[in-house]
Order: sequence, then C-alpha cells, then structure tokens
Amino acid sequence: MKHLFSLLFFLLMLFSCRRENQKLQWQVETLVPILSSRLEISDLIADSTLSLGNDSLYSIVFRNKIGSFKLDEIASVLEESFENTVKLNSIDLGKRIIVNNISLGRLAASSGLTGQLIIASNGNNVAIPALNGIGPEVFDIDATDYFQNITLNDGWLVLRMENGFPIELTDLQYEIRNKTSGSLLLQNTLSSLASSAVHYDSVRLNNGTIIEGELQASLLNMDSPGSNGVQVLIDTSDAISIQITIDKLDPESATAIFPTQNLVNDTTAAILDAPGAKLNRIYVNSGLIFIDATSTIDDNIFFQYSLPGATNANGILTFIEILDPAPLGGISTTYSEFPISSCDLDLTGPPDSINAFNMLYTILQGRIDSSGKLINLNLQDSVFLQTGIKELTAERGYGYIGTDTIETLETSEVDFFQNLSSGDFDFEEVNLSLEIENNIGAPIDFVVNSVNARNDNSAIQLNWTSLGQFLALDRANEIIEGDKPACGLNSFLLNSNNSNIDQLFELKPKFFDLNVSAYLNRNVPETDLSQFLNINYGIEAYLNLDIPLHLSMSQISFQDTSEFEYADLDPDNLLQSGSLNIIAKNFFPIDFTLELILLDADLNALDTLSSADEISSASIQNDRAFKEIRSDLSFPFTKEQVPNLKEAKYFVFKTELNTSSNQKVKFYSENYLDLQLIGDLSILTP
Amino acid sequence: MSLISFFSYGQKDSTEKLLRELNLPIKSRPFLEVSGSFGLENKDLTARQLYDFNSGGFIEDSDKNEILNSVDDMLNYGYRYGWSVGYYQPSYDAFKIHIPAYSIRIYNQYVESTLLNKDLLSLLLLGNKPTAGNVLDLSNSQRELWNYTGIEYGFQFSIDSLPISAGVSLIVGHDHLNYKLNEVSFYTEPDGSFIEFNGNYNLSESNRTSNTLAVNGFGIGLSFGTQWNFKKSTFKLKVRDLGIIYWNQGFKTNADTSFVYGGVEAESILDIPNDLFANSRSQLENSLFENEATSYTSILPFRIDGEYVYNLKNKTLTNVFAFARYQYIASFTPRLGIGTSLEFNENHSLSGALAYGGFAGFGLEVNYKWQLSSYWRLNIGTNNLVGLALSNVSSGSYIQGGVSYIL
Repeated sequence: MKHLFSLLFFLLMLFSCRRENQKLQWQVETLVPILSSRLEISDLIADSTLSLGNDSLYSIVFRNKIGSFKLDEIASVLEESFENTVKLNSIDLGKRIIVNNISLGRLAASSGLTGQLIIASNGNNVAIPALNGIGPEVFDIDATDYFQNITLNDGWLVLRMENGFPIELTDLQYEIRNKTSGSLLLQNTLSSLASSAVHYDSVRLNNGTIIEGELQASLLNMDSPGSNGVQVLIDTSDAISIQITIDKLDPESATAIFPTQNLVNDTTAAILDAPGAKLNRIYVNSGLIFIDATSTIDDNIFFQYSLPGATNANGILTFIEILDPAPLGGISTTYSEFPISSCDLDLTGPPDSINAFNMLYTILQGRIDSSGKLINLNLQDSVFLQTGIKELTAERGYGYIGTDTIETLETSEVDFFQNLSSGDFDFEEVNLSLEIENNIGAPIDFVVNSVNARNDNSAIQLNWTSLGQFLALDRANEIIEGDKPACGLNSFLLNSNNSNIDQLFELKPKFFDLNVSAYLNRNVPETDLSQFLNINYGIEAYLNLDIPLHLSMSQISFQDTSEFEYADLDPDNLLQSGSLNIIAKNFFPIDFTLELILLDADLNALDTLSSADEISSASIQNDRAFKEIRSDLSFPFTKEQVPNLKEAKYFVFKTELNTSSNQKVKFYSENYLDLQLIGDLSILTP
Repeated sequence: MSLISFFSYGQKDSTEKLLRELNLPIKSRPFLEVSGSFGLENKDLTARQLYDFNSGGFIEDSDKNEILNSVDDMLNYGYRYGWSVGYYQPSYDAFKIHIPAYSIRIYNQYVESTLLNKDLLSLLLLGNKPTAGNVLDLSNSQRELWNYTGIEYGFQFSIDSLPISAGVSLIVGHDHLNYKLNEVSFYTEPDGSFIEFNGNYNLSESNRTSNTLAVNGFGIGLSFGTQWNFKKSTFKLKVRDLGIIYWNQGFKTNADTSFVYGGVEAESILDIPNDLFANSRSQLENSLFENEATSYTSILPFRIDGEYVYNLKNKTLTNVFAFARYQYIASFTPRLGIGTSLEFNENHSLSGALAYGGFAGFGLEVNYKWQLSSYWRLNIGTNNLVGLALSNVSSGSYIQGGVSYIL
C-alpha cells in the first residue's frame, strides 16, 4: 500500500492545499497493484531437493544424513612417568697423574765431599766412586690442580720410578705420605735399580683412605756401587723420574675438579593402551613430555630428553634443560614441560626391538661439563630425576587398528516435509537407497537393526529383507595423510519390492530413527598392518530418495509465516476498508485455495482473510497441465477488521493443494502460478 | 502601502496650508505605516467553498461532486497574505530644491497558487478506482508556493525630469515549492493489475519545515515605478519584487518518465521480505524524484501594474482610470479594469473599478481612504466587494488595508 501513497498520491501530495494546522481530508477509492509474484514448484519444494529429468518432469531427490558415528580414540590417553636417581658412586673422578724428578745434582749437593766432586765433574767423564747413605731426601708432590682431598672407598696409587742416573742404585728406601696429615700411603725398599731401569710399585687405597692434594715423597736411603771404575759422563741434570698415578677411584667424598662425564643415559619404553591393536605409528594430536629434576651437586647439570621415534618438520623431538648448581648444603630443582603436537610417533620400540607395536621410547641423558673449579661431593650427593609423558593423544593411527563394535541409535530430522501441515498424497513411484560411507581404513560389517519413521502423530517401522543381516562395508583409503580418506561406499536399494519404504514417506515423517551395529575388523587377521584410523572421520549413513512428481494429493497444506508491520505499509493509518484482490493465472495441474491469517506478537490468530473462490487448476491433458486458467479472488475486509491488520505482527500465507478426483498428475518445469495482489481500498488522504 | 503611493501623501493641516500660501518652504511630514493583505480567490468555486477548502475538515462525497460540477476545465486557486511595517519620508521642495522621498520597511509575502486540471482534480478527490479504464490527462497543472520576508530601502531620483522611485530589498526565503506538470497521463487498468504513468514534469522544493520563518534561502529584490503627466492624463507604471532567491538544500527534479507499475515483484509470495515494500517504494520514488538535496535559484513572483488616469475638473469625481496588473505566478491571469475616483472632502476619498482576471473572475474593486486626524490615516480596499458580501455566490476576494501615523 505504500505505493499507493508513492504513486497515486504523489500527485495528491503535490496539489493538496493542506497546511499543518489546517488538515483537510477526504476519502478516496483506490485500485492499486501491491505485489506480483510467480509461484513455481521450487517455491513449494526446496530447490536442493528438486531434480529435473530429461523429459522436464520434476523428481524429488532427497539426501538426508540419518546417522553419523566415529571412533572417539585410537588409544587411551598416555600418561607415563619414569624416575631415576644418580648417586655419587657413579661419578668418574678420572685418572690423575703427577710427575716429579730428583736430579743428580740435587742428590750430589747433599752428599758431602764426594757429591761436590761429582758436581765439579759435570760434563766430564769420570769414574764415580761407591756412594752410601744418600738421603733422606724429601720432596713435595702437588696434585691440588686436580683435587684437594678424596676419601676413598677404593682406588689405586701407582708409583713409577725410573733411574736416569748413569750408575746403579741400591738399598733404595722410599715412602709417600699425605703432607698435611702425615699418614703413610706407600713405603718400600728396593735392593737394586740399575741405570735406566724402571720400577713400578702400587698400593690399594681403600677403606676410607684419605688422599690429599699435597703429597710428600721421601727417599729415605739410597746407596750406589758407583761406576765400578769405569768413567761415565757426569750430567747433574740426570734424574730419577717419579710418576704417581691415582686411578680407579671410588670416592666416599671428594673436593675435586670433575671431568666432563655423563651422569645418566637411560632409554625407557612405554606402551600405549590400545587393546587389540597393533599400531606401528600414530600422528600425535597433542601431549607433552616433562623433566622434574632435583640435585645436591654443586655444578650445572645438562639434560637432554628425546623421543627418537617422534619426528616433525624439524627432525627428532629433542628437548634440553639445564639444572643450576645446588647451593652449599642445599638443593637445586627444575621442572619443565615440552609440548608435543603435530608429529608422527613411531611405535615399534627402540632400535633393537623385534615385532614391537604400540611402543614408544625416550632417551634421557644428563651430564656434567667440566667447569675447572673444585667441587665438593660426597656419597649423599645425588640427582633425583622424574621424567615422563602427559596427555598424549593421537589423531591418526596406523597399523592394525583392532576390533571394535559400535552400537548406535541415531535420530535425524527430516526437513523436507516441514511446510506441509496436513493432507495426503499418493506417489506413483518411490525409490530409495541406503548409502553408507566408511571413512575408516579397515573393513566394517554392519547390521541395520531397525529404521523407524515418525511424525508428531504416528510412526512406521521399516520392513526390509536385509534387516538384521551382516552387510559388508569396504575400507577407506587414505590418499593424502590427514585429509579425508577416499571412503568405502556401499549402497542398498529399498523399493516397494523389498520393503515398505513408500509407506514411510507417505507418512510425511519428521524424524528417522536408525539403529545400527557396526563391527570393525570382523574376521580380519591381525597381520594386516596397512590399516588406519583418523578419528575425525567415521561412518556416515544417508537415505537417498528419488520420487518422480507424479502423484495425487488431497488437502496438502503449505504455509509460511512472515513478519509483518502494518505501519510500514500505512504509516498514517489512512486505510478505512476494502478488499485484497488476487488475479491468479494457474499453469499447475492442481487447485489452490488461499488464506491469509493474521497473528499478533504472541502468534495468536487475530483474523483470517479468506475468499469464497479458489484458484482453479490448469486444464489437464495426459496428467499434465496444458492451458493456463485465470481465477479472480477477493479477500474483503471491513472497517472493523482494519484494527486487526494494525495489530498483526505476523501473517501466515496458507495454501491448500488438491488434485481433481485423486487423479495423479505430473509436475514439470513449465508449471507456474502467477499471482498478483491488488488493493481495492478506501483510504483517507494524508 | 507601496513605495509609489506615498508620493501622494503630505500634510494637509492648516499650518501647511498657511505656509504654502506664504510660499515658504515646508518639509513633508514623515509617517509610520502598518499594512496587511489577505486573499483567497478562484474562478469557479464560491468563496464559501474556498474557505471550507482552506480551513480544513472533511470533504463529503456531495461536496466533491459539487466541486467537480463547478469546474469546467481547470481549477485555479490563489491564496495570499502579507504584511508591511515601514517608515516613510515623502518628498518635498525647499526653496526650489526638490528633496526626494525615501523609506525603509520590513515586509512579508505568502502566496500559494494552484492550477488543477479537471482530470487531476477528479483523481485527487475520488481516487483512481472511479476513473479506472480511462486515460487521465493531468497536463498543465501547477502548484506554486512562496513565503519570504524582505527589508527594503526606498529612494527617489529623476531621469530627464522623469521621476523614478526605486527600492532595493534584501530577502530571506522561508518556503518555496513549484510543481509543474507539463504533459502527464495516468491510466489504471479496470482490474487494478497495473497503473501506467507518463509524465513530463518539473518539481522544485526548498527545505520545508513546520517553522514558517525558517531561513532556507537568501535573495534580492528590486522595485521601481514612475509616472508622467500629459495634459489631463497621467500614466503610471510600477514593477515590484523583481528579483531572485537562492534556496539552500532543496530538491529539484526535471523528469520525463514513463512506466507501468504492476506492484512489487516478490521472489516468492510465500516468503515476502520485510523490507520489500520499503525498497520498492524507494526505487519508485527514485524514478519519480531526484532525492539528492541540491540548491537552486528561482525568480520571485514579481508584479507589474500599469495605470492610466484621466483627471477631471470635477471636485468630487476627480478622475477615471484604467489599469492592467500581472503577477508572475501560476494560475494568475492578467487583470484588467476600469474605474473612477471620488473625493468627498479633504478627509474622505473612494475609488471603484470593475475588473476581470487575476486569480478570480469579475470583481468590483473598492478602495477607501480616510484621514482620521492630523496624525492618523486609514485606507482599506478589496478587489471583489461582492465576494465579501455574498460568499455563497462569489468566487472569493482579496482585501488589503493600512494605518498610517504621521509624525
């Protein structure tokens, strides 16, 4: 009606002599086209469900998902932790070698007149006379560059003594002591040590032996027969070489410089809980690994934690953590988590594993890098480690994925008939197929236990010869890892020969209930390791319907509710009375009756505008429309009904469809109903 | 009171007379004047119908038929009112030196003029249903409205002894519209299935508000007049409000359009979008109007008056005259008249004329001037005395009056 003001009273507004304070009004009779529209079959049935055949005959093609189920996990979420304690006895203090020399000149200087003669003969060939009672000679051996002291449970001190003098030594008495405490470590007498000969001596340092960084070596006595009259070259730099080696130390405690060494190097395996499955690989969706370390060691400890089987674009997943030195008498701790996601994880175990499945392993390495500083250690010192895997879930699994049975009852809504509020129809033909997609990489046998179609009032159970039978479903194939697989697809035809499917659809169901049992890897050997499971994709069931629109119908009622705001059409409340006229040109082979129901804001009916006439069917020949028929309908309303129009917030356009005498008619793409709504209205001037 | 008319006013008291007799220079006394006018006129309807039409209310079917029966071909309609407040100094001579007149005044003019084709009148009064099936010719219809206020400075000068009086006005425009249908036809199919519209029309409209004194435009106006005497004859010519107004933020449409309207095209009658009608209306309006605001300039509805006066020697019947008037506005046709002036004494004068044209048809024009005292003066007049007296018969009238206080 706005157009009435826009077009017809465009002129009125131009020429009326009204001023704001002098309102002059009169009533006019208007005849105004309000709207025109063409109703086609696609307005009655959703485009998506219509299919046009080669002969232009429409069919309802309807694909409705009636079931969808997935396996929710490949294996149970993995939660695994490992503990490790590193004690001091596994710490390597290394081999320590200290070398000292006692020169001929030094010995001669303390050997009286004979000694002075030897010194004086340096560089000359002289005959050295017999020497007796040389010593005692004491000298320090300084090992403080390596340690200050070590209390040993076990260990060895090895003495190597080489006679660099040109004469034999006899009655050689020697000892080695801790310098500070004076405790004796080694004492021995050697009857003879020829020139250039080497002598070895050793002592086991056990039972709490303390070895200090400053040692004192003593040659208590030393004799020599001299050169027996033979002239020998006197070189006062010739020396007795003394080498002390401390090795194979098992310390009780120590204050030492520790060499670079590994504290821990553990390989630990964990098993995924995937009953019945033999998985050789998974694609990890999410998860994390962690290190929880506590140390009393007064030095940095370097950890490297890795999952050798887990690879992503950056290679093997490896994580590094550094534990700070513990304070004196205290501890140092660290806790770190490292996420694992979007990576492949090999489940065939460590490299030496045979026929291993569902197994992953981790490697933990911890080491001290020599810092060159003295560190206090004792047997109570330790490093406590807890490592593990948390909340590891997989999106995809590969290998033999096991057996499973899925029982499901799925209810799906059917929207195809939602605009039909009442009436009956009788289809000439109904074709339906049950289509099942398997997106799992393993074969499935399924059993359709029941199919139930229902609406608000009644329900019908499907009768089908294949109900309760095992129906095989091929496995899917993964073309690109992670993408939706190429599904295994099986289709089962239902028609009036093997089922009562037409009765289910003539019920105009709103819901389908589908009860299905699915059996994964039924009768499939575990040796098939080519299977996969992607938890994003499962099994989907569809009903595919194909109904040619060749039917009879009786009182099939379509209705649609639209919002309505009277003020939009008549903002100045000028409408007095009148009628809405419809000119209908029908080229459908069916009759239409129309009703306009006015609803208030609470959807309560306020009024109904109806016509005594109906829209007549097109002329029909051979079950199809062949000539358009015009009908004129009038929907009068009185002045008393106008307030209902103003109050209305919605209107329902309701149409009822009928075929004559239950004659089955065909619907083609050429069918239409042209409707033109005309206002025959008495209105006040604005 | 117009700029020109105050030439004829001067002091007429005994002091002035004495001074004139002594041949001494005197200064004409200035005066203040307040004047107003109101008119509601047409050629076909009675004054009563016009008054009802203009004063609101509901038009019954019988009234519609009466109106339609009264109109032969076109219905014209004029409605106007105005007021003026001014200070006037008439001219005078002092020792043979002519001191020219001058004045300053503020004035307002409101005028509506409508010219309706009978088909359009029928369409407006009855709606399109009674005329469905007939092609309605709505051509040559026009509606025009002006409302403006000016401040005018008047002055006098001579060209080769020809006295010229002139005025310059600065004008504030309040309201304006001009709708002109040049060639328009309208057809409704008898079953209402379509409406066909063919139109060549020009529309202009200022920014319109309910505030009648809103400032929506500015302009300038000129007035001038002269008269010359030849023996016993006097010729007078006056032009008023010759000027323009520049309107801000108005709307202007010059259209030559043709379309058939069959209602809003709805994709589906089962699901009509809520905004379908609003969108469609907008499209339709866009096809009829230029909805973009624009500025435009319009020529003021100027007036031209020409008069010939033949002066008689009779002291009472002082002259006979003929005149022609024209206003540049729709539905105003040139008005021609002849009449005579009577001067009963120094304080009372009357003129009467029989005229035809303008917004109305025939009319008996009467103007009366009364010198109430040495300070007060009154004038009153109408262009259709019968229209005032017999409103059920006549076709309306225009009245004007003024009061002057001589300083």
